[in-house]
Amino acid sequence: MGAPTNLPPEQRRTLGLGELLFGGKPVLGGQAPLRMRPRAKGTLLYLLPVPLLIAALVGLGAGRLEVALIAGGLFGLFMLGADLTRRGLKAEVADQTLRFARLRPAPLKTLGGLLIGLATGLMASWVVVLGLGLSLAYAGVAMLGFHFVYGFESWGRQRVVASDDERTRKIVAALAEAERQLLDLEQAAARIANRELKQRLARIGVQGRAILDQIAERPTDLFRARKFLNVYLDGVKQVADGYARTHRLADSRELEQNFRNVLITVEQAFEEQHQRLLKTDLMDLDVQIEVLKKQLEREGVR
Amino acid sequence: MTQLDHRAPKPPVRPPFGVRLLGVVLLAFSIGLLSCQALWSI
Repeated sequence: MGAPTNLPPEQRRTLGLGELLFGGKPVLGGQAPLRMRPRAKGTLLYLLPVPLLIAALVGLGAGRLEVALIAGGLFGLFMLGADLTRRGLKAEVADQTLRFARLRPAPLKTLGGLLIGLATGLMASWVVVLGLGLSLAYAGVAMLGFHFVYGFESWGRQRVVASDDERTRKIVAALAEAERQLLDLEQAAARIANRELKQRLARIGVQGRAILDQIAERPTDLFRARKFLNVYLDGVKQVADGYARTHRLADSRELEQNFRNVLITVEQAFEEQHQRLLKTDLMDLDVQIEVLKKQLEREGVR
Repeated sequence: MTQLDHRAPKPPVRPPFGVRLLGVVLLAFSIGLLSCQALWSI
């Protein structure tokens, strides 16, 4: 996962929900696809407890129900821990690729590691019938091994921007909220069957990210883009979500056409917004060049 | 106001190969060994 973080900010992009969920690698805006695979997948955690499953089946075959239940239950606990770890590893990669928002709601890897430790301790105590001390030692060894291979998550949320400035924090919060809305928009798009409407929503997502990037490059643009952030983005997200929920229930051509018209308008509005921000930046640069020129002329420097 | 330094945080440092190998050995020793013992003890 070294590549994305080595890129300069202007070459980085946000991650689509489709990529987050399915690990796809669409190429947007001519940018090279990012490497989305986590460095480890947790396969070992699925494989190591397999003898426990066999033990459960053998116990069942031998008519020893309590053995089958305990071994099967512990195997389930191991699988739950492995699954949480796998999801935590994926979320970790996805989270690092986002630019403003943070998605990780719970320390999944840590929960997975704790479950693996608990299951190991219980297995040592209940199935292999070791003493309390030895069982705890085995649980500790398993958790240490887990930490060496997968690592526990650090407590507390990582900050997106290393600044205590109130204004900067407000801007980052606004950008993070907008990024979340874009993710919601893509989630709604994934539930819509019509390919053309999906593509329109995808284009709106790309345009939206370009505007967010523009604001990040030049935070004073936040004021100029407030209508985009507060009205258009929220509006299109709500409409897309509503359409995604209802279009399967009521197959209405009129509804589809209305939705299409809204998307076309939003696409135009987003494009205009982006161009307006770029134009303002150019005008500001022109003014700065002119001021510098005048100053140099006044001081007799040519 | 200057451009936001909005770079994503660095990915967690990948432990050296030796440490990861030790981790695999510890996991195999604890989970693998115990689950095999559980199978033989039936």
